Amino acid sequence: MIIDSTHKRWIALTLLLAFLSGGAFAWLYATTPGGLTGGSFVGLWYGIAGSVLMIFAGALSGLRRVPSWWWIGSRQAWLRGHIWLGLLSVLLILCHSGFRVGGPLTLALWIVLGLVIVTGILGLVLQQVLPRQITTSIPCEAPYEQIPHLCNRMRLYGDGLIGKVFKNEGKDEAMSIMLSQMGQGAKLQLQGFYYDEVRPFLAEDYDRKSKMANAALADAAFTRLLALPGLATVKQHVEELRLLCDERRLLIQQERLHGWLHGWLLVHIPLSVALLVLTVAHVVTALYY
Amino acid sequence: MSSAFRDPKSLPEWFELDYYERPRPLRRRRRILGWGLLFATTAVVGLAVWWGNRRIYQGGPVSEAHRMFNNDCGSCHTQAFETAMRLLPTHPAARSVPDEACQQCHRGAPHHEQQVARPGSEQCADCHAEHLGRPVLARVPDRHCSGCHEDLKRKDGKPSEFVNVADFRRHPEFTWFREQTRRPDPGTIKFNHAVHLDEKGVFMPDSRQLAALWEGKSGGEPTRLKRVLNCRDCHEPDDAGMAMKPISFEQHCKQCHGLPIRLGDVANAPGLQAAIRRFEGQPVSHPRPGQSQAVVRAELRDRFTSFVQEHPQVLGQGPGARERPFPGWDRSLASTRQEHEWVNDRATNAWRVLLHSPGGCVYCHQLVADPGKPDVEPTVLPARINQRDFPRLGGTSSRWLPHGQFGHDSHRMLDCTECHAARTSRLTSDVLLPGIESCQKCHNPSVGARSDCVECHRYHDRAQEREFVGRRTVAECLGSK
Repeated sequence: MIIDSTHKRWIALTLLLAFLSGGAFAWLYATTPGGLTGGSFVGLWYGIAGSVLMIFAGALSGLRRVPSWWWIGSRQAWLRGHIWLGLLSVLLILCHSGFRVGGPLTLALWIVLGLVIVTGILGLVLQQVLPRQITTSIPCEAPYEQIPHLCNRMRLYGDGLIGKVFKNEGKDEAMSIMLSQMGQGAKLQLQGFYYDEVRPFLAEDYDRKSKMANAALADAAFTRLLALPGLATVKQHVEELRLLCDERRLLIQQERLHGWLHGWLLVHIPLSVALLVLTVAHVVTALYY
Repeated sequence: MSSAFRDPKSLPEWFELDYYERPRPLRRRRRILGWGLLFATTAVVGLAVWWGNRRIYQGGPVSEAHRMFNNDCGSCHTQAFETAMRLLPTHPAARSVPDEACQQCHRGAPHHEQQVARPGSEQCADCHAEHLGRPVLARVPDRHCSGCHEDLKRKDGKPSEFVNVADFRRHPEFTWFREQTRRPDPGTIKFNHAVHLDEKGVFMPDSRQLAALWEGKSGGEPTRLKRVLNCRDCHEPDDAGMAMKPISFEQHCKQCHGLPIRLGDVANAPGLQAAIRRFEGQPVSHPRPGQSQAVVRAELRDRFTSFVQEHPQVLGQGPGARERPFPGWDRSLASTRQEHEWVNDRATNAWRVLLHSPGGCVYCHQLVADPGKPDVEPTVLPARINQRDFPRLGGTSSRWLPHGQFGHDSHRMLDCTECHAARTSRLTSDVLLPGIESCQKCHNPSVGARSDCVECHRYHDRAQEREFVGRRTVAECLGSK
C-alpha cells in the first residue's frame, strides 16, 4: 500500500491516540506507588486494548473470505487500519508491560511481536519503492504466475525461429557453392548457440551463470554471431532471438523484485499466527493466576 | 505489456486465461508455514502445560526467598481468576494473592494504630509486589511510604506527631536537632569526652595512689600511668552490630574511677595491717541502675560492722572478746553500743568523704537538695545515660532514634569521630548524634549508598507481632506437595 495523502487522517488519529495513551500512562505510572504492572487495573486495560488492535490487524487476512460484507468497510480502509493501529498496538503493549520484558512467555511474545512489526515495516517500505521500480524498469511486465508459461511460449517461439532459419536454405541455391557452404556453417553455429545457450536460458529454471543472464555478455555473443558471414539473410531472426533473451532477463528481474515485494509475508503472516497463539496463552494464564 | 512478441491479438496464445485459479507458490508456502507455526506453537504451549512447568508463565522472576516453591504457583496464588476481576472498576484491589496466603509464613504486624489506610496499599501484595525481579521483597520502593508520609493523616483526625517526608533528600532533621524539638542530652553524669579522648592520654592511678592523693599525701611521686583511650574502650557494639551496649560503671568507669574506702586512724593498730589492707583494697560497689545512694551507705555500714566484729582490737578489746562464728556460717551478731558508735562514726565519715571529696560521687554525679529540708542529705540524681524521653511520642527509649535502624557494623570502616564530634565535646548536655546532613553525604543516589526508606525504617511494628504458629510442611514449602 502506498503511503499517500489518504493516510493523513489515520496518521493523525494514531498520533493523537499514541500521545493520549502514552501521556496517561506516564502520569499514572508516576503517581502510583511502585509503578504500574501488567496485572494492575490500568495495565490490564492497556493489555486488552493492545490485544484488540492486534486481533483487528490479524483480521485483515479474513476479509477475502467475506467479500459480500460491504458494511465492514473497504479493504483499503482495513489495510490502513492494519498499518497504523498495528503500530499503535506496540505502544499499548509496551505500556501494559510497564516497559519490562517479564518471564519466558512474555519474552517470546516480545520477540515475535518485534519480528512481526519489523517485517511489517519492511514490507511497507518495500511497497513504497518496488512497484514503481517494476513499472519503470520492466516494460514487458507480465502476471507473475504466467512467467513459467511465458517462458514455455518463448522457447516454442525460438524453436520456430530456428526452424525458419534452416527453411531458407532453398533460397541459397543461386549463390556460389563457397558462399553456400559458409552460410551453412554459420547457421549450424547459430543452431548450436541457440540450443546450448539461448534455449536453456529461456526455460523456467535457468542456469544463473549462463552468459545470457548477463546483458553485456549476451550482447557480445549475439554481435559475434551476427558478424559471421552467411547469416545476413537470417539477421532478422537472430535479432528476434536477441529480443527473446532481453525479455527473459526482464522477466527474471521481475521475478526477483516480486520475491522482495511479497517474500516478507512468508515471515510476517506465520509469525502473526504464532503471536496470536502465544497471546491467548498469556491472557489465560495471566488472568487465572 | 510492451513486448515485441505479445500483442492484444495474440493474447490467448501468450497467457493462460484461467491462471488466477492456479495455486500460487508464494501463497501456498505462506499457508504451509502459517499452519505449521500454529500447530508448533500450540504444541509447545501444550507441552509446557503437560510437563507442569509453570515458570514460563511468570511475569518475572520471584524473589530469592520464594524461589524454593517457584514452580508451585498455587502456594501464593490461591484465588483463581481474581486477576480478571480487577478489570472491573468495582474491584480494583482484587488479589489472586490474598493476605492469608502471605500470612502462612509471614507475621506482618500492623504499622501504626492511627494509620489511615490509603487505597491501593491495604494488602501485603500492594507493597510487596512479586515477579518484578526484586531479590528482596522487603525492599519496597519509597513511593509506598511517601504515599502516606508526604501528607500524614490520623484516624482520629488529630494532627500527626510526625513530620511529613517525601524522600531522603528532603528528610527532616532528627528530632534532637530540629528547632521545635531541640533539647540537650538528658544524662546527669558530668562527662567530658574531650578529656577522655585526649591524644596525650589520661591519668590512670591505682586505688591506693588515688586515696593518698585524696588525703593530700604525696606518698612519694605517684607512678604516672597514662593511656590513650579510644571510643571502643567504653562504647562496645551489641551482638547484632547495630547499637552500642549501655554504659555501665562496673565495666567502663570503675577501672579509673574506683570508690576507695579508708579505715582511718586504726591503721596503726598492731596485728591488723593485713586486715586493713584487705579492707581498704576492696572498693565500694557502685549502685546498679535503679538503685540509690542508700545502697552505698548500707554497704559501708555492713563492711565496717563486719570489720569491727572480726577485729575487736580496734576498740581496745582482746581478740577473743566476741564469739566468732564457724567459718562459713553466716550468723550475724548484734552490735554492742561501742561497736555501733564506732561503725557510725567511721561509716559517716567514709560516706562524707566518698560523696563530697574530689574524685568521689560529686565528681560525676549531680546532687539535688530539698530547699525546705536543709538537714536531709541531698539526693544523687539518676544518671539517665541510657534513657531518653520522647514527649511527642509519649514514651522513653534507650535509643536516640527509636524509629530508625542504624547499624554501626555497616559503618565500621569509618572513624567514630567522623560522625560523633566527641573530641571537642566537653559537656554532658552535648548531643553527639550526627545530624541528617552527615548521613546524606553518602546516602544519596548520586553517590551510591542506599537512601531508600526501608534502609533505616521498618514498616511492621515488631512490638505488635502476635504469636505465630507455623503449619506448613517441608514438602509444601518446597512446592512438592
